[in-house]
Amino acid sequence: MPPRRRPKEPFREKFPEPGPATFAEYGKRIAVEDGIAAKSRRGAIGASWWSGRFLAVLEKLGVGGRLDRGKTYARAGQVIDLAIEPGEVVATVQGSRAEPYRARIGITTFADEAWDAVENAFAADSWYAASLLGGTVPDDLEEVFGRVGLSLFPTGAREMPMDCSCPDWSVPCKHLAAVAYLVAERFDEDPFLILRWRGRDRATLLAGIRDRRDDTGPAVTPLAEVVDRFWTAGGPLPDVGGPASGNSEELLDQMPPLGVTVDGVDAREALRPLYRRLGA
Amino acid sequence: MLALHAAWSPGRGLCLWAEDPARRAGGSTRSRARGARPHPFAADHEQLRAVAAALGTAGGEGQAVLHLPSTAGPAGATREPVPSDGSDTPAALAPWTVPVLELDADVLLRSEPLPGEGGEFAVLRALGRLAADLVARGRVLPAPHPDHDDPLGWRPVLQGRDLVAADAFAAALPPAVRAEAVDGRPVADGIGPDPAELVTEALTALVDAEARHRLRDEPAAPALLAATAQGDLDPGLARWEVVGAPHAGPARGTFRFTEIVVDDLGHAVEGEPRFWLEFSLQSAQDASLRVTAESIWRDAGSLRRWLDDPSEMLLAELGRAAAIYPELTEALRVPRPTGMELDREGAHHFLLRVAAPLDRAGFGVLLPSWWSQPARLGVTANATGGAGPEGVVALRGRLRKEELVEFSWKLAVDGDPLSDDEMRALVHAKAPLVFLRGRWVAVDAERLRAGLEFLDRAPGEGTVGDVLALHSAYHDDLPPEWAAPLPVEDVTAAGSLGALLSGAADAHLELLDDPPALEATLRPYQRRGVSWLAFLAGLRVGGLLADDMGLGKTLQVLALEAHERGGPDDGPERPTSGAELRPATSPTLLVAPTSVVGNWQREAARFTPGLRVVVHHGAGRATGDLTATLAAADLVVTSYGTLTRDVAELSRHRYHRLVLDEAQLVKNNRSRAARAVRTIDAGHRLALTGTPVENRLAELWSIMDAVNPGLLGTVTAFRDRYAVPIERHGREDVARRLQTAVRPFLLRRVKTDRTVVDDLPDKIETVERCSLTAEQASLYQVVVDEMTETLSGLETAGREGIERRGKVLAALTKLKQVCDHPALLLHDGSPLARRSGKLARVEEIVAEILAAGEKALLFTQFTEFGDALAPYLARRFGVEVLWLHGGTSRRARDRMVEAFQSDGGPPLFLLSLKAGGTGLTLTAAQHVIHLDRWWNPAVEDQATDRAFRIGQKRTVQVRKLVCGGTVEERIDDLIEGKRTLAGQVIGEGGDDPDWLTGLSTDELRRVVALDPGATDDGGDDGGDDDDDELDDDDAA
Repeated sequence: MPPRRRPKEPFREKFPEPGPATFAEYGKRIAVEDGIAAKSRRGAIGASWWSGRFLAVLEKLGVGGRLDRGKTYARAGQVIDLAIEPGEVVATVQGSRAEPYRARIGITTFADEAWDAVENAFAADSWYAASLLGGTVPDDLEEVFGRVGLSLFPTGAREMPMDCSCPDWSVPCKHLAAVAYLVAERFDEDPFLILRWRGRDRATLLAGIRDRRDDTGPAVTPLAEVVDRFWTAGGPLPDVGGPASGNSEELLDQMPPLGVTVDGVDAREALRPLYRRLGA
Repeated sequence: MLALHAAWSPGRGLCLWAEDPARRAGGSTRSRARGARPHPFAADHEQLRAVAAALGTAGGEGQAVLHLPSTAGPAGATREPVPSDGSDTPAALAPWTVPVLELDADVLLRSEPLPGEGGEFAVLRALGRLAADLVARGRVLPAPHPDHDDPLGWRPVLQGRDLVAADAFAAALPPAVRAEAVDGRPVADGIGPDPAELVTEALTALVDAEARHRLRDEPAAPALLAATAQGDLDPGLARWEVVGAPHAGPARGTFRFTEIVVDDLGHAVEGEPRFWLEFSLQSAQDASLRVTAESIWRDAGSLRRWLDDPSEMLLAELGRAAAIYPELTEALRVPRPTGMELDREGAHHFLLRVAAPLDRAGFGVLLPSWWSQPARLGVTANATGGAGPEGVVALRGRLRKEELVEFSWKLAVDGDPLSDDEMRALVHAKAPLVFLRGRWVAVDAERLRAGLEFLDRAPGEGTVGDVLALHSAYHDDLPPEWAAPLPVEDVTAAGSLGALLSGAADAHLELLDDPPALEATLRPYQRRGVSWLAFLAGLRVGGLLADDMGLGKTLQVLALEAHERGGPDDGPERPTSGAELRPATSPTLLVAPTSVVGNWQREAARFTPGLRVVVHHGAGRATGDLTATLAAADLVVTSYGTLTRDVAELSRHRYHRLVLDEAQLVKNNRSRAARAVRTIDAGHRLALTGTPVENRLAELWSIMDAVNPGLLGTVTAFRDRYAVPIERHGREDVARRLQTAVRPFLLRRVKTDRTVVDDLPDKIETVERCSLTAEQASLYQVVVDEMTETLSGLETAGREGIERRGKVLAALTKLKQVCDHPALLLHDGSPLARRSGKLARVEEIVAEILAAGEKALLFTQFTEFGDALAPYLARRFGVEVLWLHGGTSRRARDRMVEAFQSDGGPPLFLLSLKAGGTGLTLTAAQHVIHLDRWWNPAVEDQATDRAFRIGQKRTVQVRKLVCGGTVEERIDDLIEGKRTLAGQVIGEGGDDPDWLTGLSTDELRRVVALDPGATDDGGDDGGDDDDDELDDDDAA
């Protein structure tokens, strides 16, 4: 007797995403494959104080619902691409129209002279670089910029011109808001991006600090400086020849085959007796 | 002598040159040649060839331009090279042309240093050792040399610590090694070749030379060589190069905590201590590979070869760590942070609160050993003075428990009491981290506070009894005012009391003289033992005398009694029967196993005939009110069984002392005997045992509690505090604590003690008296009656001579058999247990021997007895018992001897006297037991010597078992009494007792008659007796 089929679950229509449709002012947004989705799934976005400082500018503009909708956009992965460049963040955001919108958040970059001063400060006080390299914006970093009359974070929307190719007249629109939330997350992960946005990327900054710290000085001590200890060892010699590992084939074992056949075997195996002999 | 120098010429390799002092006088050269002038006192090629020959090589001749230290001169003026061995201070470098020999790198690997070699050689030879080491470990890869005769060359793989070693060589490379000006890289700028590159080049040449040398007898296969020469391997080797690239793997930030001993100027740090937290990076793959921040900042260039951005990695790690350890921030506010200084408080905070979170977050934390093993905080008490005019120190055997002493308390770290200064330092330290006795000590602040608080309120005065309780009782059992919140690490006192506490009492007590009433001379260790017993008695503190068997515990107790009671010649007012003891009118109650009751009686009669001994044991013992009996006794000997039965009456009286012989028999504290023992009221309590009870915790508790009730707490508490931690968890500290606690009350000397051994003869012979069971006694009587009847009949019939002699011998043999065991006479193969007093004693002795892990020989003259005894003992003790008799084959005999002599071999060897009496060496035995007497002592001696041959380094204990009140004892008396005349009285030849058979029937009857006291309790309760004493063993 064939087994009885279990009664089917009541049919349920699968909707792609619940919710957003009810908020949509210009129709349903078009889903994006491989969009940049916010890692934060609920609540606030931007965990650190420094990304919070950046978002505060946005929030001060207080365009209520648009920020929330932007957050939803960010989480839904509507942002197709995003780049934090010196002076601007540029992003492409998929809205309800077929053509994605182009969103941009600008910032004033600091002059080279200002960066020189910052790099000087960083070179004299390793705490700033250590903290940034450790993934945290030191809470006194603003003072460094303050000393040269600059503010690391924008103090208001005027310093942070935003525009979006969408038809929404309000600034920020939800697309800009979505971009801003994603930028905040990027700042959380890599605080150097704030500095890059302000005009100096990580590699340049670190190289500048290194140069100032002068730890790339000549690796070779000039002979002329050591004429007084010319004939003798300049330091302790390392201990050589501790307990032998006992296996002279260890390194050979790590090596891939040489791909050449010698006497019917891979050349690596042809070398093996030699390695064994070296350890004998 | 030439000053030999080596330069490593990029491309050319090792170049030998030399300074010749003899040429120095020649003055400067005046060549106006373009470029470098010839060195004025460089050795020429001929001289160099001689040097090369001495190094076992030859080399190609050439010239090199070296930049060498030279004298300063005005611009354009003549300069001179400064000799390498001179003391002149050079001012500048100048180029000089010197003759050189280009040598194979081999010479650095395989030549002995020559006199005159400069520092360059030492470093290059050390580099050669690194190369040889790399080769031996196979840390090399093939490097094809297509134009070489042997195209298969080798190069080093520098990873991990090898890379660091190579970098260290680069840093240490003497400038002279890289002094050559090479085409395209003039040294004119004063910089010279990169030492790291030179070291790599030299190492490559050295590795190649060493590897080729090692492979000289094992050439590669021709096909492999052909493939190498044709470049077939090159694509594959290129992939290998990636795997073998210099690399040290990822690194993690590591913090090393150290003390600052000297400051930057090398002066010892004084005042407030300082600590240094050193920053470093440690390879994640090889923890031994650690680079300090200091060297990262100094030499980031060379580190960059194996670590991406070492300085940034360091900073990133420090930045990450600052999230856990915010104090780090301040230390980073410099251009090149290398570490941070910590004061005492900061150090404590780091060790206590930061190190573990850093470790959990993946950072390396290297802490000093004194932190990983934190110091143990405790208190010590020292008792001094005393209310008496003499003070404790002067008191000898008269110290009383009630005596008042002063206490001084101290904090102790790891058991060492702190001086006042040290204590003050600890109290005033901001953090409980103090430098004590040359090391740092971390203590728990809370415990420190509790300890200091206790010191404020701790009693300043107490009694000697308090001292003992404090020393030995568990602190929970102490009254609140004595209970320290910290472990009491040590309790010390001056004088005798101190000696007692430290367990060295027997060595430090003032020795008593042998009591005049004692008819024996004590051996020195016995005299120490008696003095110790008397000291404890004076304190009225119970003791356990646990000397090895054979060392004379019985004698020591008898001597103690004689000392306290005096002999018949001493007046009634012996000093020691003073106020602290019961008057001499009260007797000592001695409880022993049934089998040795008779032995006590006889030993007392022999050694202390002045003591009035009453045996309260057996069917004929006094019943009812014992007041009168006890009043007339100094020593009342009873058995555990009798004590159990008569406990109601015996416990009505008060005793001078209670002595528990073979005290391990009361180890089961729930047994009736143990309960009975506890009801006895005595001024002093002693226990005797020959087994090492200190290793058997339950037994130790029972015995200690019997002699010092309550000292070790309840049995349940004891199990929790000591038995479980020691036996189940192997806690040595707890074991030590227990040892300390019982130390004052326990005296155990073993035969192997140097101090005892010196006092001991090579062998100790004792005769042990056993009693007969009722069954034995009645059988014995039957044999005696039969014999008397038979002899009377023969006498009447006038048939004496041979026939009479045969009858006498047969009867004597039967009597000996009865003394051994009834089954031996009955020939019925009946079970052995509990039918023979002698066997009971054998079992006790064997139990002690086995407990001590020693071995014994047992001799009997009756094969039948041996046949039954061997399996019986094997079952009883669960050990292998060897049994050698006349029917044993020679091979089996040899096997047995070998087994017995081997370590861990069977511990018991039973031998028939005839089969085993001669020709064997059985020195593994420390005990010889003669189960039955031989009429001829010479035969016994010969058997005894089995265990006593050359090779025996220990004292051998010889026991001859004799049933008291029987023919055995009487013959023993005869033999012992006439030993000096033995040769005359007793035939030398064998066991042919002419002197016995020749006795008249009446005389014979007297010799064999059974004494009324020969049996133990007898029929109705004898078996019960054994039950009580052995209940534990039977259960096991």
